[in-house]
Amino acid sequence: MDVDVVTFSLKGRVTVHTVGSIWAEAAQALARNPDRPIVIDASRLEYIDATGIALIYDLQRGRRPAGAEVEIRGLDPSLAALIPSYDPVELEEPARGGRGLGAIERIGRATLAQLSAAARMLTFLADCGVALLQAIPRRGIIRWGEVLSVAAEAGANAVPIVLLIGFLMGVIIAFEIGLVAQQFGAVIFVVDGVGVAVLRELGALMTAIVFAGRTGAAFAAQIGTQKVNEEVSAIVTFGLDPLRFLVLPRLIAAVLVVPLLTVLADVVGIFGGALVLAGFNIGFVQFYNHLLGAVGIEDFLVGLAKAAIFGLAIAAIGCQRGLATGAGATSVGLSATSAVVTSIVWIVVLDGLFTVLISS
Amino acid sequence: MDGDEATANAPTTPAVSVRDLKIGYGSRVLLEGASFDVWRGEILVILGGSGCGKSSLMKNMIGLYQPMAGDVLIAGESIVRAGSTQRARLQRGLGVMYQAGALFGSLTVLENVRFPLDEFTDIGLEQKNLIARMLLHQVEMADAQSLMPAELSGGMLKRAGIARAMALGAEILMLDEPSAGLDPITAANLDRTILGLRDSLGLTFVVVTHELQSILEIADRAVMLDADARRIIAEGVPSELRDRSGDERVRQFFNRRPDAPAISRGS
Repeated sequence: MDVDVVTFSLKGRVTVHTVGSIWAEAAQALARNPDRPIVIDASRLEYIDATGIALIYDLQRGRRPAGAEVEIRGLDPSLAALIPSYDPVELEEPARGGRGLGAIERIGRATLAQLSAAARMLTFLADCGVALLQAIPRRGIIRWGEVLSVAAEAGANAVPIVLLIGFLMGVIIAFEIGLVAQQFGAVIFVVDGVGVAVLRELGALMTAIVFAGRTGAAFAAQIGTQKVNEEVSAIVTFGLDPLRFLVLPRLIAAVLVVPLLTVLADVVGIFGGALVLAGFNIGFVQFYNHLLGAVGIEDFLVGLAKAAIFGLAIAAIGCQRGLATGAGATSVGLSATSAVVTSIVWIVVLDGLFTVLISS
Repeated sequence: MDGDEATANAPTTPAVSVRDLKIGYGSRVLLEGASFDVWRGEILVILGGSGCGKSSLMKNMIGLYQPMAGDVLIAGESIVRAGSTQRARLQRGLGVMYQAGALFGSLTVLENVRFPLDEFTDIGLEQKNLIARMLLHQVEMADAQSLMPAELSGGMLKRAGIARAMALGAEILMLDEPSAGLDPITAANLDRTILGLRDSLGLTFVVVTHELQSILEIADRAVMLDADARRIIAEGVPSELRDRSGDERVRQFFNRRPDAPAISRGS
């Protein structure tokens, strides 16, 4: 035998739990002797599992110069039969991605993606509008039972959290403004602040944000799961329209329920404010009388109109994200997240638009 | 009754031993008095009509569900009465493929197969990738290694699931309906893979299936359950069950003849 030959022996059981160190040693032995032939003595090998097979395969396939080959000796024929003989190229990870993108191209692609998402949303809203218009004149098209059950889940069950948040919001605003106004002896005008803020803005806004987190996410997850389970495909192949079947009941329920919740938030918000101002020596009767002069019915109605539009936007976004769900559990989670984030962004944007439109 | 052929070159402890097992959900009993052994290097098939409790039996055997009574021994140790640490150790020695593959949706196929190696071994990343690719190659999934599970067909999910079940070098593999829903060629290849792994590595297989062709091809022994009888109604070599069973239900199953004169209705 050639003196220069390096021998490395594999013995006993080579399994997933022992192969790590053996592999590292063997790789070192190969690397230390780049131009000497290597013999791997496998005659005392008792057992190998799939990882052992991979080890021997890896040692054999190394690209080494002529005269420095790796030879495996004494491998039991039944084990040798397991060593695959396929082309190593098949095992390489396929190249992915191609060339990297430049900054301008990335900005362009991101812009296009946003624009097409907005276009899809608008198309979806238009489709919903068409479906609703078609449904209204014909009896039995809208599934009112479904509308009621969605309204109960999204509305009635949300009452406690809306009450809590509405009340605390009234308390906080009254307290914060009250502390400042006290220094100027203008505590009575805090009533105006609380009234306008709660009725025109915060009642609807906070209710919508709660609704987005609670119900928008639920819509996306429910419809998304139905999409993943191919229930949506089943609806389509029955010749039914998923918009009418799944989306319209949710849209209608949301448009009805968010304003109702907002009324509750308004009432407890103002009550919270009154409670705090009682501490600033403004009694309930005085509060009430001043409030009547400070806010009008139009403030209340503006809040309700906003609430209805927020409800429509949240439900539409939730349903659209649900229907756009890909496949698998992960995409349901992504849809729910995206529904909440997009809803909240749109609530604020719509609120801004509303305020500007009404003021001008 | 099952020891004769297997004891020749197998140790005396069965790889899996099911003792007088009673399983069910709530108060509904699916199966009672089930006893059988799986010997090392054997391919045992659990078969029976839909809804007879095949998959539930397997889930009891791997310690996922607690049986109503009886015991399951893995290499002589009870998985039913084991504490949580000991049960986890016993379960790591089992490779399990679930009906729909049960791949993790957030990982690629390659990462799914590599997952047990990442968790339990100190093998380098390059090497782990090589092992995972070779396992995938074995189930003819090498081309799909960078896809996400959501992008795979049902058969591909199963095959990737088998590759993942083998990753930790488990000597006992439990496969829940591996060839259901696969095309005949892929199913035959899978059968060949199972036979090859048994012959070369001496792995033990417990396969839940009702694919006749596959049963006759791979099974050393079969255990047949029946939904109405709620017990094991036959045990033996599949071809003998088919040709010589005294039980009408067994012959009906193997000959695919639900309309033959029957004691109870066929599957």
